[in-house]
Amino acid sequence: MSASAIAPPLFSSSALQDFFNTEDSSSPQRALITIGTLSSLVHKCQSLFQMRWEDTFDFGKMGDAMSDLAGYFFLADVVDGSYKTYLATKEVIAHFNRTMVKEEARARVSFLAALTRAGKTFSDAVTFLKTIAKTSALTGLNMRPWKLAGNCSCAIYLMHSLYKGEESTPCATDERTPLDGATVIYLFQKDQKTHLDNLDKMLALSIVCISIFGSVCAFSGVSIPTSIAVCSRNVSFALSVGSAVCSVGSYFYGKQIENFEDQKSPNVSISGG
Amino acid sequence: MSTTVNNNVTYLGLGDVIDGRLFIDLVDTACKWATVAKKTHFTFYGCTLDTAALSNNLLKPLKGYLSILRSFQRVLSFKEVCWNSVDKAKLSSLIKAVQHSFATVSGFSGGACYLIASKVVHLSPHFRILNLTKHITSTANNVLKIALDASNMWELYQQGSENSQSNKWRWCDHILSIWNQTLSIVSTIFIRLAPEFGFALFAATQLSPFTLAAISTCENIGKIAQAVACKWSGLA
Repeated sequence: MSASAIAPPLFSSSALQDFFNTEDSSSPQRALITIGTLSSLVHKCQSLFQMRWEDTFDFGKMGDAMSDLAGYFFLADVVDGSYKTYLATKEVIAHFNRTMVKEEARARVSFLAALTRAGKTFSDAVTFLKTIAKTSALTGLNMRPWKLAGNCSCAIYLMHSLYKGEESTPCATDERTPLDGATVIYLFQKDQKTHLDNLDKMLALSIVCISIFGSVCAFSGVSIPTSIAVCSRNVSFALSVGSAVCSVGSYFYGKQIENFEDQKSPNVSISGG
Repeated sequence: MSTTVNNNVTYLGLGDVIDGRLFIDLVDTACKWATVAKKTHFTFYGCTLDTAALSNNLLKPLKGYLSILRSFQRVLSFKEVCWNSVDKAKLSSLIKAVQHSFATVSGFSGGACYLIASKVVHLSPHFRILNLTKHITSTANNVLKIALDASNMWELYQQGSENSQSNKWRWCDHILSIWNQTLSIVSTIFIRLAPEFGFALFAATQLSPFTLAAISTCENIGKIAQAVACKWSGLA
């Protein structure tokens, strides 16, 4: 293996700097959620091991505040998602006007894409509203049905994107041109990123399902035993920690992939991704 | 996003000019004007939006936590900016390194102040010293930024009329940056630092909401104008 085949460190200084970048609209959201989740985890550990640090640093308060405030950045996702939904709808109409069978199939695919994108946008909008309502800036709105609708549309989006999937082994190589070490590392990183993205989606889907279960029980007036409620809260928290870890891993692998693509274009044709 | 049309005119999109932080500042200023107009509650479809709560419970904490994140970023780039890329023969490079150090200290002390104020960290006896550190280092940071802009303008002046369209926007960018820093220094000294040293004449508590909202609006207009000039200097 050549010197270029040595994989660069995952948590490089430049990648970490980008992680804490507050000027980009999507980056602070990830950083806030990650630090918030880790703070809540430290708080849980404190409670578990009977440590009293609240007199100096209240990790629980900080974790809750950071996780809640991250919802504000969903506003950017709503704007971006609305524009993408509009583009997808335009494409559906363009295909729908044509009468050929092949075009109809394409219209169906575009329609499904537009529908799931709209679902995700709606779910983001509900999350943003939830954040505003939590800060008591918005009052008088019954959030329960909105939460349920938002969670359902988010579940549909996640299921669709998991079903559609991404190819985990993105190699379509020519045997006559052997891969160099750097390209092998690049493909490995791409593979890892895809795995982490899928795992993140699965964990998010599980959290959403638990939330839907809670909402349905509340609507139908079924009283859940306290032990089950506490257990589902703990499971949901554990899943959110896992989701944050996957999201961070995926972000840093993504940074390495970006760096590699900036440096040189790989001599393999990459499908998917 | 910017859009280029066939007649070689490039238009700037809203997203190119207003970043996440500036948007928060704009909404916060709008909330301040709502307070001035004594209309902090807006009712629509049975819901009520309270702008005072929006500003105090969402935007201000968000600014505090973003300041902490920004400080982490500055600490991570500290070695690169303040050591590796310093050209000891160039004064502007040295100024930039010192300015980065001040900005890092200011960001961290600001973040710590916010955590103390929101009762996440219980270090109230140190609040005053941290607050002073924040304001003094922030003022020093702004002064050094003005020095950097002046040095860049001198370099532009020496370059002459090469690529004059781009240079014009760069001049504009530096002038607006100096205006913004000056405004920031004035508001820090008279509104935030003066009460700390007992000069109650300009204390924030004595300034009317109208004056505070007007200062905030001027700051935001300056920032938007600078962002436009900065983008145009890169595009021209």
